[in-house]
Amino acid sequence: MRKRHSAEINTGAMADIAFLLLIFFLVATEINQDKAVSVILPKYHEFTTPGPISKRNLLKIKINEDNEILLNGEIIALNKVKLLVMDFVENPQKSMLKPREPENAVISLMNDIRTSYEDYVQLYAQIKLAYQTLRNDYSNQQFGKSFNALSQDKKKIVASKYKIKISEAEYSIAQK
Amino acid sequence: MEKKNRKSPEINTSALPDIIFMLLFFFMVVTVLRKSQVKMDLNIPSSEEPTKIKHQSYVNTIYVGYSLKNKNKVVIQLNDSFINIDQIEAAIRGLNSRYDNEMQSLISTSLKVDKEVEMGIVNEIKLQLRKAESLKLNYIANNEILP
Repeated sequence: MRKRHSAEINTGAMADIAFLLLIFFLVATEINQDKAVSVILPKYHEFTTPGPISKRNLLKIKINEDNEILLNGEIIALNKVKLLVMDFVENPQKSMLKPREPENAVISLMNDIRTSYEDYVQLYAQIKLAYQTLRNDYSNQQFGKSFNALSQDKKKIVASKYKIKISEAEYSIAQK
Repeated sequence: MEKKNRKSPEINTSALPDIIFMLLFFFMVVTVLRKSQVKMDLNIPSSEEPTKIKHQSYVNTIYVGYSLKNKNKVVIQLNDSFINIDQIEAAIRGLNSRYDNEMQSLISTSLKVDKEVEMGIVNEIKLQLRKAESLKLNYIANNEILP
C-alpha cells in the first residue's frame, strides 16, 4: 500500500513551468525581420579600371547633390526611372542607340558625395524593380509562371538574359 | 445511470506538458535574439519592395547615424561597438574569419544608415567592404509604396 503511493510524482506543475518558458520566448522572438535592398559589390582591384564599353549599351544615371536624378543628362522624376530603364534594357523599338540584346545592357549609377542616402536607396530599388518586372514578364511569356515560381534551372535562364549589371565606376566609351 | 455519470473520467492532462514543450522548442529554434544595441540616432529610409534578408545568422550589421550627444556628428557602429571608418576592413575580415570556408558565401553585411546621411560616407564603407572581400550588402529599408 505504502509503496504504491510513493511511486507517483505530481507532474501538474510541469505545464506551468513550460508555459513560463514558452511565454519568455514568445516575447523575446522578433517576428518582423529587417527587409533590405540587396546588392553585390564588385571585387576590389587597386589599379584596374573597367574596360571600354560600346555607347549603345550604357545607360548613365546620376543622382546629384540636390538629389535630382539625371538620366543621360536630363532631369527626370523618380517614378519615371523604372519604365525608362525597362525600355532601355528591352529596347522594343530596336533602336540603334540602345543595346541589341538585354544582357548587354549596363546601368552606370553615379552619386555625389552630398547625395542623401534615402534618395540613393530609392533610386537603386527602382532600377532593381525594373529588372524584376522584365524577368517576371519574360517568365510569364516563356513558361507561364512568375519568376519566383520557376525551378532553379529556369530561373538561371531568365536571370542570365536579364542580368543586372549596375556599375558604380567611371566607364570609358569605346571608340569606333 | 447515475453511477455511470459519476464515474465519467477526469480529462487526462498528462500530455499537456508535452504539447507545451513542443511549442517551446519551436519558438526556441526560430528565435533570433537581438544582438546589439544601437547607441545613436537612426531613422532608416523607406523604399519600394525591399526583400527579406537571407541567412540571418551570417549577417554583420553596420550602423551609421548621428551621435546622441552631438546631433551633427556622424558615428559608425559595427555590431556592438563604435568604429572608425578606416578600421572597418580589418574588423570585417576578423568577423568573417570565424566562419568555415563553406559558410563564407552566406555572409552578408547589412547597412542601417540614417536617411539623411550623405553618400560620401556610404561610398567609403562600400570601398572598405570591397577591400575586405565581403561583397554581399543589404541596404536596410522600410517598405513603402512611392507616390
